[in-house]
Amino acid sequence: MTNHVPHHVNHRFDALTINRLGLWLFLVSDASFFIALLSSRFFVVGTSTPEHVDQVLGLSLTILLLLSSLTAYRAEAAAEHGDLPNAKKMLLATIGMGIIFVFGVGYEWYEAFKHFPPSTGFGTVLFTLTGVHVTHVVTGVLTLGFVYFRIRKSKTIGDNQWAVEGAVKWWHFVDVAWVFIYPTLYLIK
Amino acid sequence: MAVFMPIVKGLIGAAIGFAIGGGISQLITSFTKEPATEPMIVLGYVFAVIGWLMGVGMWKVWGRQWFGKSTNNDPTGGWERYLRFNIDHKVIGIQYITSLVVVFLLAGVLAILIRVELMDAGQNIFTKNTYNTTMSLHGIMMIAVAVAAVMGGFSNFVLPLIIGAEDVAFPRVNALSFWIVPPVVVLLLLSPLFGGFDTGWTAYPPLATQTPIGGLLFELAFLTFGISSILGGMNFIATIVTQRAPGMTWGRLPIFAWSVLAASVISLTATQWVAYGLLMIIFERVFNMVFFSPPGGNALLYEHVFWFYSHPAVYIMILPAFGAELEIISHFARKPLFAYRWVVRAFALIVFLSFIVWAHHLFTSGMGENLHGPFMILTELISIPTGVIFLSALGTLWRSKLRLKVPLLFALGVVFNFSIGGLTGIFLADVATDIALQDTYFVVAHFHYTIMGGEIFAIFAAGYYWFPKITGRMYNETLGRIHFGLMFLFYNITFLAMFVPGTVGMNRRVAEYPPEFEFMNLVTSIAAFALGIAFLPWMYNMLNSWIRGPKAPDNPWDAKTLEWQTSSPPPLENFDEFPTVTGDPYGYGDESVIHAKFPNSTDAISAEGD
Amino acid sequence: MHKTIQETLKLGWVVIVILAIMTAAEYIVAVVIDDTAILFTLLLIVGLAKAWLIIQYFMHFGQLWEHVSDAWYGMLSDDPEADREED
Repeated sequence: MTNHVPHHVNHRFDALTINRLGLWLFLVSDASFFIALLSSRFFVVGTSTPEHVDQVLGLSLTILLLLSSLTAYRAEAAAEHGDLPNAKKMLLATIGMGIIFVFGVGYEWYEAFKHFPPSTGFGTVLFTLTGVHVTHVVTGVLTLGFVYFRIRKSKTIGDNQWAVEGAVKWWHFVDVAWVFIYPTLYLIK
Repeated sequence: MAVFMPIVKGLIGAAIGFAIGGGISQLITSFTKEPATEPMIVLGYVFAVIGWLMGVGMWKVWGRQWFGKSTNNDPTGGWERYLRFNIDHKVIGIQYITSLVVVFLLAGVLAILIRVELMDAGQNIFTKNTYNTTMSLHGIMMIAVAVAAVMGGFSNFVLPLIIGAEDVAFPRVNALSFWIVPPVVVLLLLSPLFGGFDTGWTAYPPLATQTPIGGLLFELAFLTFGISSILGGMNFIATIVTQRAPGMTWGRLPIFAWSVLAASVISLTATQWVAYGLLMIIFERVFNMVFFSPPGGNALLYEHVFWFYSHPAVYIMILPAFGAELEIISHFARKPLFAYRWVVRAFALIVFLSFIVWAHHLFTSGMGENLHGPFMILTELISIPTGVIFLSALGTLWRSKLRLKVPLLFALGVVFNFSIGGLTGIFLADVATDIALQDTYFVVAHFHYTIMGGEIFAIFAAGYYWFPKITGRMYNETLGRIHFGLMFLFYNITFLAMFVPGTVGMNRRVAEYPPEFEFMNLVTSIAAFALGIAFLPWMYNMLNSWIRGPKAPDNPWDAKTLEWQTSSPPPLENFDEFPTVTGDPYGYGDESVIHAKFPNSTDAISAEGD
Repeated sequence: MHKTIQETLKLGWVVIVILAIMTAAEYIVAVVIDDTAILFTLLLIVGLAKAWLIIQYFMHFGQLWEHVSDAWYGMLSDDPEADREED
């Protein structure tokens, strides 16, 4: 970073708080996208859920994503307390679980094509909800990957404190989105 | 040629991106036997936008940081600084304003073509399909101008100055939100070459899912534009919350900043809904999904989702326009803004109500009839806070000694035009009359009175008002008055005449119409041509004054707000010394009210009253 | 109010256990209850509770107010005296 980065003349809000506020605003915005997404499920197919929905897979994906939120949380805590080796380990664990999640959704799509392809009502809903969500998961994995790439050799967290925190917050947001998608897609009847 | 290098690099990046994205798409779809043009365009476009952004300077300014490398985001330079990814909010504001002026003029030419076609009842220069594409393009391009000219252009330039900040909260996001606008314009201009789209800017399915490729380009353009709008809204909220000068409490915040804050809340949240609506159409086209077609799907879903954005969107357009209008009226009437606090409350109430009135666009769409009554009442409720804003304007004007400069003339034009627009809106909010008036030229005249008469007039007011600050030169007052006189007169003739065939049922979006409407349409067309000519003195005035105009003083209007307390044009850091706010920005006529003090200067800002 | 790392990590485990229990409850409720309206309400309540736990404890929503409570307060007040003290 060079010249002309605003030095926030009023000194009341530090850069970290401004970054947090910006990310939270963006999350509010994205959350309203998910509200639109979830409400369209009820518009297109009401509350009906076909029998062929793979409940075991749905529950496993949910547990996997919740667990990855715990590792992300531990990565952030470790980074904040200067424990970089643990932070890196936990970041890698989170990225790994994210990748498994993507493959899980891939398997679900493979199965879904047999019972409800996109040209059916429930298929439309399923592919749209999981598709939009898995796009978020991929961006989360990429972001965490960038952060890992940046701190992979460093001994101190340095400038990357916000990078870790922001990426982890984004990952938790993806989890919150799934918290609502899971019952909407699998459990309601 | 060197000045165009970022643009050229951006175009190369876009080409590479399109090749990568399109290639991936072709690879995936080669496993199926479906024709794969549209998936290729969608994926190719996504990568092309990324390539364009990186090429145009985002890589240098921002992208390198993701890989832990050093970045170079020096915003200084000659006029080439306007042609690259630049993080200075003043540069971005000028980039927005100039590119949207170009879009405005192009869309204006389309409007002239539409009026040529409608001079008589038969078919003249267009086929039915090209007419509808022209009409749709005119619509979406003017919507883009209306959304982004104030929010992107003037807010970007003025907002950090008016709250005493050095820049917006996220300068790089700000640059990003501008540089994804050029792909929007390119896609819109390309769409007629790919069959156009005859859906109107609203893109209702099922028609929207059946248009040629041009329709897909339009939907992608709209979606991209939404991203720009969301990022802008996020940035402005964070800026107003965190970047105000010390002492700039909420009660001292200039009304323009308040209006931008209100509009930002809408663009932050509601825009996601139109993004989803367009995404559903794209999914239905590309993946054969069934959101809007049987079994299960329902075209009403789109109308609900679409208007959940597009009704609040008119407040994204009009609220900052009101803010600029009130700002100008107070400074030129030399009086404190009347009922400042009530205006702020009215903004908040409008933001809240704007989210729960959308279904008044669906009165004739087959929506459940039990929803008609509530949405009629909620819609009519919105006239109360709007009325408060009017009362504030009138109360400020009341018994004041007006300085009748061009900005004030346009601001007064807003008051006149928008009252006609608002009053005719009541008939459209009312279910009984709306059923007769829906889809007629009455609706067309109504929203042109609100958006063009309200917002575009306010944009011109803001343009003349801040011209000295933006360019450092004064415009020609006489030419400005000629522009206002011609524009106000012919604008009103054009659209008042449009109400007449509307009330007797002339449909909108048709190239041919029954011959009994011919006379009023001829009147409208001739007035519209004159309205087009009215912009010539403005164009000459702006260009000539920017190049050769007399040097503008720092504060030509004796205004108290902070943007006038720095040099014209402002230095890179906006202020040589940063101010501390100590009082009301509209304290005219009271010597004891001092808006702001600068640390090393003894003469605090107290523009003399009358 | 800075916690030690042990406290922070322990809090993480507590939250994830509660989340797991709620997820199990969600699943059982969906198997047992057949009435759509009741099921919808219950799922919504559990979903909101889970989201709140993640937002509050994993995403540290409260941080937004941590170091700047006086600044936020100064913003909300129009009292010039309150404001001057900050400068």
